Amino acid sequence: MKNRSGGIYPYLLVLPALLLILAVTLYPSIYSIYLSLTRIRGGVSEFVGLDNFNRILSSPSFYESLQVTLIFTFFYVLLTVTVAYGIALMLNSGLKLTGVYMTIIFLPWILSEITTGVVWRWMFYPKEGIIQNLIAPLFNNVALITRPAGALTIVIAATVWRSISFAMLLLLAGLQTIPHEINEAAEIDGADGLSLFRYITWPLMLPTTVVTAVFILIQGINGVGMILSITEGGPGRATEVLGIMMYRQAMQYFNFGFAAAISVILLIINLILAAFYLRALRRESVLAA
Amino acid sequence: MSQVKFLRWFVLVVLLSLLIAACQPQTVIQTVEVPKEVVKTVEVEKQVTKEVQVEVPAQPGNLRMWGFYDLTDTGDSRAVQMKQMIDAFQSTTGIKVEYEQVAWDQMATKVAVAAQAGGDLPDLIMVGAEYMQGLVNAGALLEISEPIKNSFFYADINPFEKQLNEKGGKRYGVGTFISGGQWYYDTEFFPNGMPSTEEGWLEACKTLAPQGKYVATFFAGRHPAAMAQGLAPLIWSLDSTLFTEKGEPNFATDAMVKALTFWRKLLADKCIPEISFTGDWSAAEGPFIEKTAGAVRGGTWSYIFIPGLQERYEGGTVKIGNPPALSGAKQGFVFMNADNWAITARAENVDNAVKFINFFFTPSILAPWASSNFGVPATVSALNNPMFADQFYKDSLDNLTRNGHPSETSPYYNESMDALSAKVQELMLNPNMDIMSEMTKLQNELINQYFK
Repeated sequence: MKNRSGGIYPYLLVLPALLLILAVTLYPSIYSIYLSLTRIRGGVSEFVGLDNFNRILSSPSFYESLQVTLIFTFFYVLLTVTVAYGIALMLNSGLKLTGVYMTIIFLPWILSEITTGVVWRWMFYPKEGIIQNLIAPLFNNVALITRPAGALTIVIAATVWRSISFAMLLLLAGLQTIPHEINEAAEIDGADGLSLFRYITWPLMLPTTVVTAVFILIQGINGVGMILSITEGGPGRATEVLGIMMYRQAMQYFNFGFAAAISVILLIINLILAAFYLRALRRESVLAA
Repeated sequence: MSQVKFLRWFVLVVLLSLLIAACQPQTVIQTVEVPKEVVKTVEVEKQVTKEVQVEVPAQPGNLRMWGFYDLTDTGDSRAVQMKQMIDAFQSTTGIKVEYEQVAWDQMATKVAVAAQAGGDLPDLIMVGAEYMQGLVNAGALLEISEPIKNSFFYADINPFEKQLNEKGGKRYGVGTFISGGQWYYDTEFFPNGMPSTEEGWLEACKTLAPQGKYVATFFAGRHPAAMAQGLAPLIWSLDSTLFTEKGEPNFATDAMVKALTFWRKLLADKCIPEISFTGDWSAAEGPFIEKTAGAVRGGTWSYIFIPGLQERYEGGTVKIGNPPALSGAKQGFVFMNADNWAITARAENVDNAVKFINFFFTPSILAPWASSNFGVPATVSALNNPMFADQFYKDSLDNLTRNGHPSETSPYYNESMDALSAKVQELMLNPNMDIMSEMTKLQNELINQYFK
């Protein structure tokens, strides 16, 4: 374990932090897996094996939540990456006051998820909501947040609004690694803006775009805070993503085994996505080198 | 080089020490038993020692308690009373009370999670009766049938409280006051009394709806309590129940179809505002406050939560009406509930917790407590206090006596009622969905998930 500069000392110095990280990540994960194999009845915890998973997989509510999660995540990723890409392109084109724009765009990211969710909820309050009042004539005075499609649209809009800045940052960093000379050479050869984007920017940005998209996808799958504070999963189950279903099972129904089983399913999904993310990241590093 | 080496080791030792210090177990407060008599050696004279028996009283110990109220909030009469009671209990018994505030809607979650995760639990908690079954199922509460049956106030407890808290001869909590649903109506809308039949409501709607007004407003959105307060009484009016005797959901019934069809009709004809299903508790009460709805479903607690209600009631422009009954029903009902004290399963000071409960149930203490919550005290002696001679209490007691129905229970009450509320909201917003088939699917899903 010796290295050239300091023997085992670097490892020993890192050890306390590593133990702490393992304690707050690995232990809860292992405990969740254990919990997913148990069930509490009448105050007694009993080992039930894969029974919780059987119940989840035979529960129509699980598939409804899964459907909502997939719809939400699809539009969340698509809109976040698309809008962030557009903003990154504009900021990369040499606008004045870029720093000011970036600060303004980054504000939603640094605000608390729950606070911004509550504000979005207020903006769409059926009678007093400022945005609801503005758009009410367009929707026959129906309160959008009280309708399944409307509520889902609002949570998508809110989460996209919050995540654009971070995605934009990743994409802007990628754009700034593209050498100017390539674009200049293409312009000399007569390429217009669209051609530049199609034949130079897009192909060179593809790895970065994939990395950004997978990162945002992981965020979308696990998204709970904003949705909880805007709609709490309602109306009905219209915005009840898997994360909220898990939260409800644990914190409202005290059905910890069932909730832990949902968390294990989410863990598996996240591990698959993380593998894609790391693979995309490796590919991007190779291309950059 | 040796200096660098020394510095490295020094930093390492400091970090490891901090880590070890952080991992030290928390100090646990324990009740220490001190023998009542000790033999003490006392030197009386220089060369003579005498053995003297000295009686040392047992240490009174502590009591850890979680309650709903912030004891520093002097603007909340319930918090002020709670603080006074705790101070009086401490000075009377010598027992040191450690009180922590936990919001009413977080109490059950915090207790259940602590019970499950082996975390820190107090001795005594305040908890709404609707959460009791879930907490019992989570193994969070201690059975207290014997200490309560042996208490001085057991014979004095009113039958409502026993219906709510004694199931199968077992008891896990004791109610301090009974609260229940109440329909308040505006006499300007209904000078001859609020309609209490399905037909009466629809008839009144024909006059009010064209004026842009509603017969009534009530919260029936996504919340278990919305179903307990609003839907359950309609089901009971047709001699049906929401749960079987085993506690399994009983949602796919003709009574359910009739009740939801009635609500759909009210919504479609604008007899009730849409916000009843899509808003929250406060929003749903708005139309009554703004005098665009003739009645509101509230409870004995509504003086606290509906602005202006107390003034209107005392001014005679608002009265308590009879609850609605579906067509063919004998009568309408209102639900009844209680705020309980319960002892947790890992309580370390059970005796002290029982002492506090007994202290709390002294009539001179229980009466003002119930009064500040606008509830009916759980014991007859406390109810005889002159503060309940007020017209509001007389009307409330009359309402609960005639129309009160204890909430149903089930080991999975909370999750079943929450799922029901989500389904009802869906059915109201999608009038083309078939009620019976949706309720059948929901019922089967819940039974498969929780009872098999």
